[in-house]
This record gives sequence, structure tokens and C-alpha cells, in this order.
Amino acid sequence: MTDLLDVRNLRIVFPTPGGGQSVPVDGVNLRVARGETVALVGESGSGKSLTALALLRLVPAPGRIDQSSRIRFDGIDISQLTGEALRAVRGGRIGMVFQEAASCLTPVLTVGSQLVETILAHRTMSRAESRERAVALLEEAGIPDPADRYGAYPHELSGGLRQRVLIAIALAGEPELLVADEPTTALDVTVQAQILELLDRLRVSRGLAVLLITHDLGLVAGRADRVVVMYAGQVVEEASTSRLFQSPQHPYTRALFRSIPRLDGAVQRLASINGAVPLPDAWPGGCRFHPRCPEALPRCATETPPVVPLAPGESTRCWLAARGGS
Amino acid sequence: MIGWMLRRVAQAAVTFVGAILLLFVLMRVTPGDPLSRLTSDRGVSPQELAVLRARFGLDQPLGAQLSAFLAGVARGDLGVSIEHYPEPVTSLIATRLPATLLLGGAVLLLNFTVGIWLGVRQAARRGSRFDRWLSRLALAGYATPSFVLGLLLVALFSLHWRLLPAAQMTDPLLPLGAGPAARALDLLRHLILPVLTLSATSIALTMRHQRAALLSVFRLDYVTAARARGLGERRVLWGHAWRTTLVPMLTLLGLWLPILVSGSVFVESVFNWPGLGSLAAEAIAGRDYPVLLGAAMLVSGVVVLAGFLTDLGYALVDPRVRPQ
Amino acid sequence: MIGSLKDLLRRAWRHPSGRWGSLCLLALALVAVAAPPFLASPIEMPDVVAGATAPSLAHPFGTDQLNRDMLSRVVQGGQVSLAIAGLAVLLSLTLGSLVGLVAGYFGGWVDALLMRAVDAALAIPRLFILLLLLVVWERIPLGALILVLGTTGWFATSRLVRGEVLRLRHEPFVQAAEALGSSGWRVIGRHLLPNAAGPILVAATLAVGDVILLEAGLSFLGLGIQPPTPSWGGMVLDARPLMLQAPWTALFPGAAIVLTVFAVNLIGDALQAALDPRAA
Repeated sequence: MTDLLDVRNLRIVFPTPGGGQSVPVDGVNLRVARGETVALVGESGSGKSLTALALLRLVPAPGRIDQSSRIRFDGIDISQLTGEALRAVRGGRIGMVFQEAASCLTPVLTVGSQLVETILAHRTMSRAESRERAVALLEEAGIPDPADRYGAYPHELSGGLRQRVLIAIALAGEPELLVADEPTTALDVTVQAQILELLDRLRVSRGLAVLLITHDLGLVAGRADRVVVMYAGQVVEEASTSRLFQSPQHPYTRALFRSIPRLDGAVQRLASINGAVPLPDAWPGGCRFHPRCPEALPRCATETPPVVPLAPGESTRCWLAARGGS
Repeated sequence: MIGWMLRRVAQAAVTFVGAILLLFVLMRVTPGDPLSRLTSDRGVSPQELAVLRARFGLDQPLGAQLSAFLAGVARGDLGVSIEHYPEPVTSLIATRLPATLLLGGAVLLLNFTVGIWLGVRQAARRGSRFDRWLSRLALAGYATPSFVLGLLLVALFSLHWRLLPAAQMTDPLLPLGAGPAARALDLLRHLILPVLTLSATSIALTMRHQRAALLSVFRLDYVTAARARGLGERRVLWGHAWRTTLVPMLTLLGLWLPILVSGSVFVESVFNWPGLGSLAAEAIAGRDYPVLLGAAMLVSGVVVLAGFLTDLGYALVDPRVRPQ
Repeated sequence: MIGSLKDLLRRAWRHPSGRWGSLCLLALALVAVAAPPFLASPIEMPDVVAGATAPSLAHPFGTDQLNRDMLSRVVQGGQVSLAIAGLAVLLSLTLGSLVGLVAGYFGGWVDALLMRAVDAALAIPRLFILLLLLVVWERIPLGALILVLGTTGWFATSRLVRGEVLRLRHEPFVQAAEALGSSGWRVIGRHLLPNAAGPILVAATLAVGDVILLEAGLSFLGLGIQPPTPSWGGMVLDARPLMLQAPWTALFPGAAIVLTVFAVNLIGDALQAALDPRAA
């Protein structure tokens, strides 16, 4: 199965006021196969959102994607695309759903007009046809009374409905890959479940590949085929969902699992990971997790661990694994 | 919606009445007798003067004066000009109004098109040499008094290079049989310099506001989101980003008006443009108080109206403002 | 208050336009204050016969139609204009701040009444108010001019200050002061005013530029500074019939106005940028 998305050595660089550089995304490799669902997991500050933006070349200025990065979609080198070709990929081949639907819809335009505009940006059809298509998309996204909602303004809709609209817009260009960056974080718990279920349905009905970006490991189970864990701008572990949940290899992943509150078992103190997420302009030397790692070795402080392959499609960036497992 | 509009209209009316009252107070507060000049300069007989005093209510207690004043305004009687005695102020204003409307209209047109476009271009090319130099140019335009700029342009384009007419609205030597095209061209030639002069200040403001408004919108997520959908850059810029700046830009309407009004006094006087501004300038030279007062009232009414229209505009342009 | 103001000024200084503007203005002010003793030619010896002469070594700005040295006249005009603008703005600032503070803090009908009055006053373009007030005089005394300019310029400031007060009065530190028993006036003076100082300073700076333009315009119309006191606007008025033959008579005073207002606005912009918390 050829990969739909193949990202190699993604490096995003920001100039700092002092004249230096900060590298919030540092050598990320990512693959998504056709129809596959990959979860990109990490805390805020890990660089996962920037990675998503980079896929569409939307890294905000003054940041830029480093020359050495390669982003390939269905064989096309996105990092070299410009103009019309880039525009066609955005929304037409890769669709993106952002976190805060309220701030991602232009407030002065109706929901319907924003949908139609996106449809027409990728396909030629008459106004009437595009309107029909828009209403159909709204319906597909699970919005009740889609014809009525067509003329609504974003601020008139609830958070859940807005997110559904965003999803409809993301699908308007008939993309093959859907990138969902924290699609449910800003929503109520009940609505969260609905949106995730919607994404599942759409994935199946349209044969979409999905890159689900989240900080919540709980969302991942039963939804993703593979999980990629990011920390401090790097991928620290990559595995199939089942393997990751059964036996996480990287100390960070293990710590993440430990910190999930559980309802079963004796009540204990809520586990958390000591220390704080480092900032991009001050990455720790050696292994970036070492200051907070309970299993750190002396060499972790000075030498950057290599990516150690564990099985096809599985790897971890850790000295413990290099040594032969913990 | 109707209720909201009615409330706004009531507010505007109250403000206008307040302005009229204020003008009345100004009139009573200033020292000197505006009518005394009539006897000395115009040879008006003391009897006529007494009649006028009664008409202006100057010999009556304050309360009666106020009611006479307000009654006069209500029926459109703004008094009689001293300089052009006995012509009523309203007819003087009516004669001169069209010329000023033409000038003002042309300036507004320039602002809406060139001003906004330049401001958007600046924001799109933020930090570039174009942006920086245009900002400096705009500031220089704002800092230059309109009469200085006007005289400069006249000296250069009319007196020195003889390209454009130096004064007036039309060429007095234009043959009577000249067709509408020739007349229109003549008018246009006379319009250019005054419009450029009067625009200098307002365009500077327009550019600066548009640039700032657009830059603040660029930071927002929905602009990035619009790009992520594959919309073309031009569509994102004008259809999404700029469209959102219409609301803060509407505030400009309220700023433009006082500037245009004040500026027109100087510009029309420099170019001898037969409008309200030069009427006011003449009234100053001739100490024609009733005309100045009448002009002030008219202008205040226009400012209040503009404010009301701006509010209306907010509701039309920004769906979030509309009362549900 | 002093601390935050110093900090504000320091940040504004870092802004390039703030530096240029300040230096320029400082230079202009210095010239206006210190130059007169060094200006050789006496300025009050009108000579109609000699008339306007072009700029030369003896007269760097040329002479006007009465053969008076333009440089001295422009400098003197500068003294007058800057002094008038400064005093008028001070007056406007005081009045506006007072009204704004009272309206914002006490609220209720006091606020409503004051703001309705301000609305009405703002409906009349400032120039027209000035015209109506000044046109009745035969010769306008300088003090009256300053008074009139000052009392017509406080409306917008009062709205600004009121806005600041409304924003600040619900801040915890104000409520704390009130809880400790501070009287209204004490709260206004010691807590609200210092924190509103920043935007007030910006408004004051920009107001100076506006007053200079206004005063120049009034002088051009004959209603401002009365001759023989030199004023930039008055000089342009006198230069009008000479535009083609002696353009320097209008250019130098005109340029002086532009330069001064430009510099003042640069400073105002820098202060504005320094106030913006989003700036570094």
C-alpha cells in the first residue's frame, strides 16, 4: 500500500528576536496510508499543530519550513508547490478541521456562502448546483434542517453545529486525507462523542485517511490504526494502537498513560509528569525528555537518542530501547 | 429592528437639538452686537434695525429669545444675512450647497476607492518599502494644512505650468454654445486641484485605518482557515479579511465629515470654489454672523445624520450587531 | 505613576519614529527658544520698496514683502505657535480629564448629562465653534485665543478619560481602595488618574499637532494670531499674492508647520505603539 502522506525530516524554524532560531518541529517523520487513521498525540508545545499546518504550507510567518524537509502527498512534493497547484491541494486533496470552530469561520459571511465558495474553489458547477451540494454536505455532517442552517451566521450556531459545519467545509473539496487538529477539545463531552462518531462515519463512507491530532490518549483507542507520539518537536514513539496501549516503549508514553485518571482500582493520587514542557528556544540537550524521565540514563543528558526500529512501522527514540529494551 | 431604529433616530434628534442649543448659547455668550454693523456699514435705518432686533428677538429676555430661535430653526428660518442684506441665510446656503456637495462627493469617492485600496495594499505588503514610504507620505499629507497644499498646487499646476485652472468652478470664458461634454470636461479640470487638496488629509486617515484594521484581522484564525480551504489569495484578502474590516472602517465616516467640512472652508477659499466653505470664509471677512450661525447649524445636522447612518451601516454590515 | 510613565517613554524612545520625532521636535523647540538672540537682522523694519528678496547668505529664508527677514519671522512664529498649542492643550487636557473622571466615576445622571452635552458639542465641527467665538472680535487678544482653543478641545478627551475610568473602576485595586474608605476624589486622584495617564498622554501629543494646524488655519483666515506678531498661518496669508514671484515667502512657514506637526505625530505614534501590550 503506497503511502498517501509521506513526511520526512520536517523541520520548522522560527527566527528569535535575539537573532537566533527556535526549532519547534525538529525532524518529524510521519506516514499515513490510504484509508488509514493515524493519531498524532502530544501535549501543547509538542509541535503537533505546527506539523499539521506545515502539511498545507500554512506555517505562520516568520516561521518557515526548512529546506531539508520533504512532504509528499500521493507522490507530489508539497514543499515545492506554489500558486494554483498548492491551492488545489488545500481542501481539494487534504482537508483540515481546526480546533476552535468559532474563530475559524469568517463571522460576517453566512455558513452557506462559505461552503459554496469552497465547493466552487475546487469544482466548476452552477450556483444552484453548488447550493444543492452545500445543503447535502451539511446533511452529511449531521446538521438538522440543513436548508435552514444554510443562511445562518456562525455566531448563531452552537459549538457542536459549528464544528459540524467546519467538517462539512473541510470535505467540500472531496479530499482524500482529513487532518483534524483537536476537533473536539473546545466542545462539551457529549458533543465530543457525537463529533468523533461523525468523523468515524465519514471516514468509512468516503474512504478517507485521517490524521487525528490530539493530546487525549483516550480518544485514540478504537479509532486510530496507528499512533505517533510527539514530544518537544520530535517523534518519540510510533506503533499500532493496540501495541501502544499494551506495552508502550517510551518513558514519555508510559508517563502519559499513567496520568490518565482511572475509575477502577483504588483511589490514588493523580499521577502527573514532573517538570514542564520545555520551550522551543530552550530544548534540553541530549534526549529532550531526560529532565523529566524517571528512567533516564547518564548518557541521555548528553547524547541524542536515535530512532530505534522495533517492528515494521514501530519505533521509539530512546536509549533504553537501543540498549535492548527496558 | 424597527424599535431599535426609532430609538437611534430619537437619540440623533436629541443630539441635534443639543447642538442647536449649544449654538444658541455661543451666540449669546460672545461679546459685541452682531447687528451693529448694519447701521454703520449698510446704512440701515434705526427703525429697520429695531424691526430686525425684534425679529432676532435680541431685545427680549433669554427665555423668549430661545423659543423664538428654536421656532425659527424649526420652520427653516435661519435669519437674514448681514453682508448680503436682506437675503435670507437659507437661500444663500441653498445656492452654494451644490458646489460643496460636488467637491465633497468627489473627495469621498477618492477615499472609498484609492484610500481603501492603498490601505489594503499596505497591509498586504506590511514592512516593505512601499508600506513604509506610503505611511510617511500619508502622515505628511495629514500634517500639511490644506491651505498650504492648495496654494502650492495652484502655484505649480496653474501659475507655473499652466496645466489646470487656478480658481472657480467653471471657466467664465466658456462659449455659451458649448455642449455637455465640453462643460463636463471644463468642470472636471476645475475639480482636480481642489479635490486633491481636500483629499490629502482624509485619505491619510483612511489609509491608516484600513491598514491597521486589516493587519489586526490577518492575525485571526479564520484567515488561515480560509486559506486552508484552498481559496485563492485574492478571495481570502477581499472576501474574508477585508470584508470583516468594513465595521471598523465605518467609524471613519464619522471622522471624515468634520475634516471635510473644516477643510472645505480653506480649500474653497483658496480656489474660489463657490460653495459653503467659501461662503463661510466670506462671512468671516464680512463679520456676517447669521450666515456663520446658519452654516454651523446645517453642518451639525449633517454630522448627526452621518453618525446615525454609520450606526445603521454597522447593523447592515456586521450580522453580529443586528438586534435579534 | 512616574514609574509607569518613565517605562512608557523609554519604550517609545526605542521606536524609530519616536526617536526621529522627538529629536526633530526637540531641535525645533531649541531653535525657537534659543535662536532669537543669534538672529542678526532686526525683524520689525518694514521696507516696502525693497520688497521680497530670495534666500541668500544674509537672509537664509529670504525676506517677505516688507523686506523682513523670513528666518527670524519663522522662528518667532514657531515660538508663538508652540506656546499657544502647549497652553491650549494643557487647558483642554485638564478640562477633559476632569469631566471624564467625574462622569466615569460617579455615573448615574451626572454621567448621562455630561455625555449628552459632549455629544452635542462634538456634533458641531470645532472650526465652526471657533469661528463663531472669534469672529465678533475686532482684534483677538492672545489670551482669548488660547482660552478659546483650550475650551473647544476637551470633548474628545473627556470621552477617552471616561472610557478609561469605566474600564479601571472595576479593577480590584480600585475596589480595594474604596473598601478601605478612600473618598471618591482620593480614588480618582491617586488610583484612576495615574493608570489612565498613558492614553491621555497619547491624546495630548496628537492634540498639540491638531491645535497647531487649527491655529495656522485661523491665522490664515485672519482670526488667529494678529499681526504684527508673526504666525506661520499669517505669513502664508501674506504670501498668497506673491506665490509665483516669491514662493519662499509661503514655502518656509508652510514647511515649518508640516515639519512640526509631522514630528509631533511621530511621537504620538511611538507612544501609542509603546502603550500597545502586544508590542514587544
